[in-house]
Amino acid sequence: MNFRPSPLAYALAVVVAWIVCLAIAIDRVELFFTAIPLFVRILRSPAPGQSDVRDFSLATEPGPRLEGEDFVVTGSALIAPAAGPIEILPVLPPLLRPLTAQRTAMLASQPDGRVEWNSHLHCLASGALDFGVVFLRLWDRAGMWVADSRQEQRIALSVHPRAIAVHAVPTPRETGAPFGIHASRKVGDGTDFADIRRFTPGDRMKRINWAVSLRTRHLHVNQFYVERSAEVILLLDAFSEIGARPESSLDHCVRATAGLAMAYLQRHDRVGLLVFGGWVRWTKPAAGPTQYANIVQSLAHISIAPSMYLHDLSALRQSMLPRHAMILALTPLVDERFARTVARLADQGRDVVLLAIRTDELSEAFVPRRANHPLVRRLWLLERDERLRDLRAHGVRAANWSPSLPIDTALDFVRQPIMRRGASWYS
Amino acid sequence: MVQLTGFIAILLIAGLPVLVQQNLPLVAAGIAAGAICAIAVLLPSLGLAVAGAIGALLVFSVALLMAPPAGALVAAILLGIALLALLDITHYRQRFRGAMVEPAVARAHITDLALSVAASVGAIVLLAGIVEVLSIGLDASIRPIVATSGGILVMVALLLAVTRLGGRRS
Repeated sequence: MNFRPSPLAYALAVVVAWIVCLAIAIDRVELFFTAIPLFVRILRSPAPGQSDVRDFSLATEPGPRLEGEDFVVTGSALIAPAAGPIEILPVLPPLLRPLTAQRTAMLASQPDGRVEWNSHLHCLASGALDFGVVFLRLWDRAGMWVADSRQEQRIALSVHPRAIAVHAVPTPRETGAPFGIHASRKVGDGTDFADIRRFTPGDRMKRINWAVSLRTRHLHVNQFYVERSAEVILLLDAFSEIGARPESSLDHCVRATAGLAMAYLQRHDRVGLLVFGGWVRWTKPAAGPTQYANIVQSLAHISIAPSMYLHDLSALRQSMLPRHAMILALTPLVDERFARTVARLADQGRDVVLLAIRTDELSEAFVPRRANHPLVRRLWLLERDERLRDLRAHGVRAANWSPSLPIDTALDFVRQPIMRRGASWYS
Repeated sequence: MVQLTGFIAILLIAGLPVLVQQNLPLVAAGIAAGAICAIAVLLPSLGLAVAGAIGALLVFSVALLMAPPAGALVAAILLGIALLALLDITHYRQRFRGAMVEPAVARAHITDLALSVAASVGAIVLLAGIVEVLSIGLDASIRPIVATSGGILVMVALLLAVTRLGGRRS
């Protein structure tokens, strides 16, 4: 690294030049004495020799982080020879914020040239973070000479979303494997009452309904719906994002997706994830805690990259989008392609639930003043309501979700499945 | 400590012209120059500090023009030290703004500034001594030769410094 004169050196030179000119102009020798302290300062700071930065390293604790978590990045470098203080200027991605107000650090040089620093950082939102560029600025002792060096050691960090609390989830229309908690259409062992029928040999004694049996003078037994697990596909709209991170529509949708995945997995359901933004990111449906880790890992790598590659999700393989699975779509309902896809899936007779995040609240701070006019916002909301009505007409269970309210308030509207025409639900 | 040094420098810049010549417009001009320097330190802006320093120099020059021929040497030296402190502190605040500064860095900087001031005072005393000796011991006809030799020596020293810097760069 070569040192160059700092702005202070130029400032001192300019003032010295002014002093000399004024002294000559007004013919007063005292002014020359004014220049001496400045001149001595310049003379006392000769240009330092070349410095080298060696053994640069950045390290952090391994493993993924959780949104809102704090962590420490430790850096070290060997600067030889170190002339004066060393300024550390780390380049951070927008989703990382230093915990202190100071973004840079000024460290005193050690006799052996070793410099070590700790950056305390805060993860603002989920995502795949890639950082590791640090600018080192070397100053001489007097601040008259400066040299810059760009050092790099990439750190890839996965920040998982924080799941929001979901207390009651939408009930799937179809159920699948046993050991779940959703009532199926079949009667058998379960807890949800279904019907009463005449006793037949082999029925369990504890199922006898004594009140009905006494009244009818014949033994009757209670029937219950079998509880089964369901298959749920969480479909996330990656076509558009409204608002600024970490409070954008995508951030809220990602947190809601993580919350819904956790809620369904706790109910022993099989949960899969499809991120659709023209291209598809797929997490195969499965059950158990490992699946939750897989889903949040996929959610951490979501980004908005709209593409025209794939127009129709119904063209996907059966294993990617099973017909009996409930599809739970989360979207800001801005992109027409996503709304069309959801409507087409519902037209195929699939069980589709849609949560449309209210983007008017998220965008309020970012739209121009004229676009924030109440009339404009009202028109926007009307257009959005019209789109939701259209989706409901296709058989989609659709609800508006305001991110400032708990998600359960929105899920209340879509909890029960829509009855199919000509067929009773618990048949 | 850094702020205190800057504050003292601003007081000196505003007050020194008055020490040389008591005059109301000069007082006002000195206060104006001091105000510019104060804003420069507070912002902090090195460009504004240079402007303030030049303003203070102009005010001081006017004061010197109005004052009797001798007796302003101490004020001139103090102004030089104040200007050095002003520029140094402004630059320090500007480059370390928004940074977490280790106490050792600030301590080392103030120590270095104090050493520069001490060296300046030493250089001035030495220079005054040499001038005194030369004015007593030297014949009037030789003085221009000595002065020219000194000038040539300064030029040679500057050339050597520049050549050394150029060689290091290449």
